[in-house]
Amino acid sequence: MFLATLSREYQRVLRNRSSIANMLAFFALIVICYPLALGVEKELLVTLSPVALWVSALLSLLLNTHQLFEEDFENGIIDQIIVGQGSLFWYVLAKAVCFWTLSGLILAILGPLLGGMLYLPLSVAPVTIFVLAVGSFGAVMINVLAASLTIALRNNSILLSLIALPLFAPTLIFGAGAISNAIEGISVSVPLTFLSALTLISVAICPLGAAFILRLSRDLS
Amino acid sequence: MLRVSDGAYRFDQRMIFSQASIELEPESIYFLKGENGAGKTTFLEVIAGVRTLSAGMMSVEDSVRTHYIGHKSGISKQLTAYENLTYALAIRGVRGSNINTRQGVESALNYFGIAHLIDLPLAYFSAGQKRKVVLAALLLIDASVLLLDEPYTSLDQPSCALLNKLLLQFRDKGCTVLLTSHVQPQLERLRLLELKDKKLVSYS
Repeated sequence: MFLATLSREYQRVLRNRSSIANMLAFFALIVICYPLALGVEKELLVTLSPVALWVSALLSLLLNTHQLFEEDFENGIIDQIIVGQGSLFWYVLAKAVCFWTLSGLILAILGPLLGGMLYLPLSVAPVTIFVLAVGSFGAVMINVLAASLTIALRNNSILLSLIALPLFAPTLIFGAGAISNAIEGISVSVPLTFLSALTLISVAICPLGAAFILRLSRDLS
Repeated sequence: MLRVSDGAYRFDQRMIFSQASIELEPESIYFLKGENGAGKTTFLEVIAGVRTLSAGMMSVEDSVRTHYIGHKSGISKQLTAYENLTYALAIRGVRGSNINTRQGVESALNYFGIAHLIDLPLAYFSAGQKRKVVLAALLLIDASVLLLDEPYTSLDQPSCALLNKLLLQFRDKGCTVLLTSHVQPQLERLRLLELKDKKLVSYS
C-alpha cells in the first residue's frame, strides 16, 4: 500500500508540476523580500537569515497543503481504501513522504543558495540543508494532520494555516537556532537534537492521527 | 452473508432511514429504488462500510469481499487507465506492474471496448469512458458482494447491455449484487427493494 501510493503520488504530482514551481517561486520571493525591506546591511541580514529561511520555508510548505487529500477525498479514492480494507496509515505516510521530497527536500537544497542573498556564509550550507530537511519533514507531518482536520470543510486553507502555524513554532525556534549556532561557530547538537526529536514525535503521531481523522471525516461528511 | 438488522442512519440530526432490515443472499441481484434524496447512496455507503449505522446492527461474514462503485469515481484524472486500475488492485493487496496484471487490465478494458486507451490519462476521457474504466475494475477485483450506485450513468445503450450481461455472470458465479438506478435494469430474477418514507421495503 505504501509503495503503491508513493508511486501513484509521484506520477500524479509530476504530471502537474506547476504546483511545485509555484511553491518554489513563493519561497524565493519571500526570501528576496528580506534584503529588499531591510537594505543591504550585512550583519543584520546574516543575523536574520536563519529566521528568514525558516519562515519562508514553513509558509511555502503551507501553500499546497490543502490539496494533500482534497482530490482523493472528493473523487472517492479514500472510500475505495476504506471499502478495500487498505491501510489509511500507509496511504497518509506515503502522501507525506512524496509531499516532503517534492517540497521540503527541494526547499532545503535551495535554502543555502537563496541564503546567499542574506549573506548566509557558504560554510554553514551543509548544516542549513540538513536542518531544513529534518525540520521540514516534521512540518510536513503537521501539515498532514492539519489537512486531514480540515478536509471536510470548504475553503479550508485559512483554517488549515491557523491550525498548522502555531504548531510550527517549536520547529522554527530549534531550526533557526541550529543555523544561528552554525553561523556563530557554536555546536548545533542541542537545537538539532530537539528538532530531530520533534520530527520523530510528529512522524509517530501525525500520520496515525490523520488516518483516523480521514476515516471519521468520511463518515461525518 | 451480509445482514442489516433494524438499521438507522442519521445525518446532522436528520433521519435518512430507519428500521432497515435486510439479509443479502448469494446468487442474487438486488435493485434498490427510491426517489431523489430517498437515501439510496447513503444506504449503499453504509453497506459498503464507508459510513457507520447510527443505530441497529450490521454483520458481515469474514469471507465477504466487498467492492463498491459510487457516485464518486474513485479514479484520478492525471493517471492513465492502467495506473488507476493497478492502484485499485494495490488497495486490495494485489501487487501490480507485472505482465499478467497488464494483460488482465487490458482484457478488462477490452470488455468495454476501451483497451486502446489503456495508457491515456483519464483527463482525456469522456464521462462514459471514465465510467467504463471504473466498471472494468469489476473484472479485476475478486469480490463476492458488488455495490453499484447508478452504474449505468453516462453509459450508452450497448455498454448498458454489456454491464447487464456482466452482472448476470457475477450472479451465476455466486456473487451478490446490490445496485441503484433511476431506470430499472432489464435483468431477470431481479429482487426489488425500495427506500420509501425513510423505510426500506422489500418486494421479493
